[in-house]
Amino acid sequence: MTAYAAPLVGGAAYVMAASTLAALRGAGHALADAPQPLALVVCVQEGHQDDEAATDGVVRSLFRRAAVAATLNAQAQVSPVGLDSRGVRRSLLAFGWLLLLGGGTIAAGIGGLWLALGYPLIRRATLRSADPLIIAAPLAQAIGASTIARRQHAGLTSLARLLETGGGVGQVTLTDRYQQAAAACVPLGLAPLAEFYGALARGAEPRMPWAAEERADGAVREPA
Amino acid sequence: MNLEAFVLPLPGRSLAVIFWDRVRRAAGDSALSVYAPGELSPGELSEIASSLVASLGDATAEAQQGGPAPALLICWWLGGSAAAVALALHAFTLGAAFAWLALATVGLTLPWSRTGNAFGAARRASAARKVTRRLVGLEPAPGIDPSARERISAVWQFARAQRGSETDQMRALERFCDEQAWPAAASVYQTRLALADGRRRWRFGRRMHRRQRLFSLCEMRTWPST
Repeated sequence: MTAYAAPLVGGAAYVMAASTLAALRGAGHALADAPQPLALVVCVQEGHQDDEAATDGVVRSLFRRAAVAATLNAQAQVSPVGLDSRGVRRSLLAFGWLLLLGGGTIAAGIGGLWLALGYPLIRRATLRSADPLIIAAPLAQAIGASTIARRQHAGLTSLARLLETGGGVGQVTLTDRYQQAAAACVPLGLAPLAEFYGALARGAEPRMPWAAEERADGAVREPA
Repeated sequence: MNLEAFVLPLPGRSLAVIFWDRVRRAAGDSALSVYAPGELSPGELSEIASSLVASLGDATAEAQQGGPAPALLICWWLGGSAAAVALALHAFTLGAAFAWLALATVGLTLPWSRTGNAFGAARRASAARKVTRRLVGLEPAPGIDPSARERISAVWQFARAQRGSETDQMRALERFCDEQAWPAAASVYQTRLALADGRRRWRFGRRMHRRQRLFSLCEMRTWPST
């Protein structure tokens, strides 16, 4: 799983982009199928230094928040199984029991058996296998047990340089720098971070899980 | 298991693709060989591996959430159909006018909307599970197969000479990959084109479906032409 230590003007931010959420959702399904160790990777710029012992806890908690978001997204995508109306289902169940108990013929018994027992059981089995929450427990366990590695990313190094120099054109405001960073994300292979820098440029709160690391004291701030 | 990732050109960026439906089996540890027009940083290699996990998980999830397992689906249809016939026979004893009641009752309980894609999704999930079982310790590394390197280098050389709109360039790349006897890469461009132009998907729907390969996608950076 790959997260990003996105460079900021005067610090860095740990960001769980949409691609991280997609990978976590995918890993969750794979883990639910067969438990395996998970590799957590934070992409960093060249020369990035942080107190690994201190930031690992924050990064792990961000991965957990991203896993929750990925699970909830998956839950929203599930389509209903079988009849959606509870009223119709109950009517059919009652009709099935009436046929089973009072039908009086083998044909009515078979029909009643299906409506009273067969259909509700088969529907429940399908719902159980389609439950998106089955990925939550294996993901939580794997995130807690895995180590966090840091790997250099060429795009982040270029982005850090861009933010530092501001494109090298006279006085550049903070907003301009983040706008430039958002525009540079796709050509630098950091398309998942474009939304993050776009939100910073607008002065809005990025929607994905993230935490900023201030360079002055090295402390990591996690937004509420 | 030997997996191969190819960094294919797109106008203004590139795309790392791993075709995971037909993997080469090999003795020893699994390997992911990455073929790119230049050197990739360790972070970028991790992104490619991460996209593979996402794609495999999506295929598994599609089967789990898209509908019941094929065996359960067959039971569902057989049980439901038998009940429909039985109820209709019972209803006929009351009079033909009551037969609709049996058909409507059982027709409502059959998995009409969940059958079409279930078998395809189960096949894709089964292929994904085979790869997932061998993913432990998979570390991406630059590929060393000379023929694959030559192939990717030819595609990049062609892409760098292209001009015009994004759609035209992708169409030209699709044709080029087809001519180079690399239908898998051509299907990637075809899928991108289909996403860009919804109508094309309908016009060539059957042909595209036949050629469809299973692959993971990861958007990457632009590469300098030198």
